[in-house]
Amino acid sequence: MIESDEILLEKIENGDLASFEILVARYQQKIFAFSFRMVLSQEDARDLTQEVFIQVYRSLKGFRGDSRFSTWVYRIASNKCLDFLRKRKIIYSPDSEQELAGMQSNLTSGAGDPAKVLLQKEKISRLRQLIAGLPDKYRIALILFHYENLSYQQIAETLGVPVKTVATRLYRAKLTLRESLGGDLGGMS
Amino acid sequence: MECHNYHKKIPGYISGSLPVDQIIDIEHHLEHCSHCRQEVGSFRELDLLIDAAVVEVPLVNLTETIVKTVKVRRHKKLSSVLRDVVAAAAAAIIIFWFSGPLLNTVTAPDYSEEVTSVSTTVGGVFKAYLNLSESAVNGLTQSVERLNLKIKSKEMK
Repeated sequence: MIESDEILLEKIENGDLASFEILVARYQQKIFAFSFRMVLSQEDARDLTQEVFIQVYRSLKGFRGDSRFSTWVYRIASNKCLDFLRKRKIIYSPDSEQELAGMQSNLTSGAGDPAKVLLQKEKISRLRQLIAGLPDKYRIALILFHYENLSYQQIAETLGVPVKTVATRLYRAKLTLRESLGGDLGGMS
Repeated sequence: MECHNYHKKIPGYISGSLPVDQIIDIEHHLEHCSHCRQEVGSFRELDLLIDAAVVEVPLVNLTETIVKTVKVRRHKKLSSVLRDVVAAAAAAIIIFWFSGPLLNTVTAPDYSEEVTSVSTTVGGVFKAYLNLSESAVNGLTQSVERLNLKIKSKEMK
């Protein structure tokens, strides 16, 4: 029987490490994926994921249950990633460009025309670079919405901002991307 | 509502994140505004592109490492607490050991001089700390009083 997060949390607070292990197993891939998309480094994402769950274990008593546990974990992960980026002053660099270019995409359209496929791959690659270059507060909203599939409400709770702010940040992020891409949008649908 | 105000809501409209009344309002506007319909089309294309630009993430299994780290840190914390408890118990035993003979006005044991000298040093340091704290508090009180006087004289002017 699969135990809910709430039941596991109760057990962990009573010192049950086996329950903590189940909880970690449940969320570690999601948090790693989010961290990886934020910092674009496997090694750093591993470290950050570890730090997130250590913080979760340490701060369990402070979790009041007014939001979902998953939202709370994402909040810790967001803060860790933003602190990491701020401290390391990570800016988009040529090394990141190669790393981004090497990453797989799930590009599926235009499969019949090699020229079209190449064009779309280049567009995707360029968009990835642009996303990586967005201000952190816009990029994190974009990643949480498009890649972590959180709702506006969940993103608001994760980032500790109103829903309207989430909507504004997503709008500004997309406006920036669209302007940077210029007229180069068509061909995906 | 101006088109500009609708533009801001288009991403939310496309993703279905708006309240029902706002969706109805936007759809009503779109029936009459080709410019905003173009905007919707443009943002839809961008969304598809953003989705396609997802960075694939390798599968990891960090569970064991994470749990191991938590166990180690938990053990370290318990050891540290235990050390403090043992140290406090040892200090209590020593104090109890020497206080007995002294209170009974029996000749103190030979090594009591060293213990007394350590206690005097510790006591002296503690006393000096108290004196320093007292003078710091007095200094602060005087500063606050001077500040109050200044404020009062300004108010009277």
